[in-house]
Amino acid sequence: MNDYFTVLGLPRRLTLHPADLDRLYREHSWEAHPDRRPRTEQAQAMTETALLNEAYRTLKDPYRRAQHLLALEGISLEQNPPQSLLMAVFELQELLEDPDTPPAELIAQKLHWQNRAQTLDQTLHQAFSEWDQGNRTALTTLKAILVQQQYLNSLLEKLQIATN
Amino acid sequence: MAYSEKVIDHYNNPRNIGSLDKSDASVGTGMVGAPECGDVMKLQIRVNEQGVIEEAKFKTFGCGSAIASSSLATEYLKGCTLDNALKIRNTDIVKELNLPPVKIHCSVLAEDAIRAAIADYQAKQTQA
Repeated sequence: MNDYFTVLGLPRRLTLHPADLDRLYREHSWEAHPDRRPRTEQAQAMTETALLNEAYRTLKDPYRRAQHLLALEGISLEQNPPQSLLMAVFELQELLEDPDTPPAELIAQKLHWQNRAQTLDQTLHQAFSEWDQGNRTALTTLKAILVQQQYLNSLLEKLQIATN
Repeated sequence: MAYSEKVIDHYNNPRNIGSLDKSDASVGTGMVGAPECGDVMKLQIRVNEQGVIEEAKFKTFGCGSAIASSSLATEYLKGCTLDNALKIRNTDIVKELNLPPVKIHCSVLAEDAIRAAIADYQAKQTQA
């Protein structure tokens, strides 16, 4: 498995300024560009460029960045989400399915879940700084956050469609 | 990817869809989920004094295979003793429904739901 932090010449830290990432990506892409390589190294340059693109895409998104770190640290995401979250998801799905649910209720739900997603973003960034300070228990927190985020994403998508 | 006829049949005519009273002491509720796809599955059993599952209900929000897996699971459970219910394996569901490899996790979810429902029922008995 490729370490995308290494690919872009970054330490394995989670707090990352988008501007720094953009700059590193540009610099590496410039060096790896097939036009700058001799004919014999074309295939190699293409592979490097593809790898850089994938590394950049992965690290740019905070959640994908966290997911990549967990994978590098050998932590599987398979885990049963907390019961309270499953209950809440289940109840929301029932509301979405019921044709008698008033639109105002759906809008209220959308705001509620958007708030939860924002809180989760904050928790994510806290876990980022803990990891960056060398605290390995942050990995457990990150795992729980990622499991929740997958549910929140699919719920928000459904709520978006339902309230349009 | 095409669904097998059995999956489509369970999807169109789900068996035992619905809920039981989760506060009832003879009812066990299992709620499980698959984060990768955002699926949630609720499976409930009503157990009589002889330890036989009299009734099983489910409600699943998820793909056709997840619905079919839980529907089939409730069919297996009805009339089953708790001991035998614990012997139901996801591979039984895979075989019966002809699930393709990418959908095996749906059957795993159904097995987890069975175990969670039984565990919930048993926890209620020790409390009583």
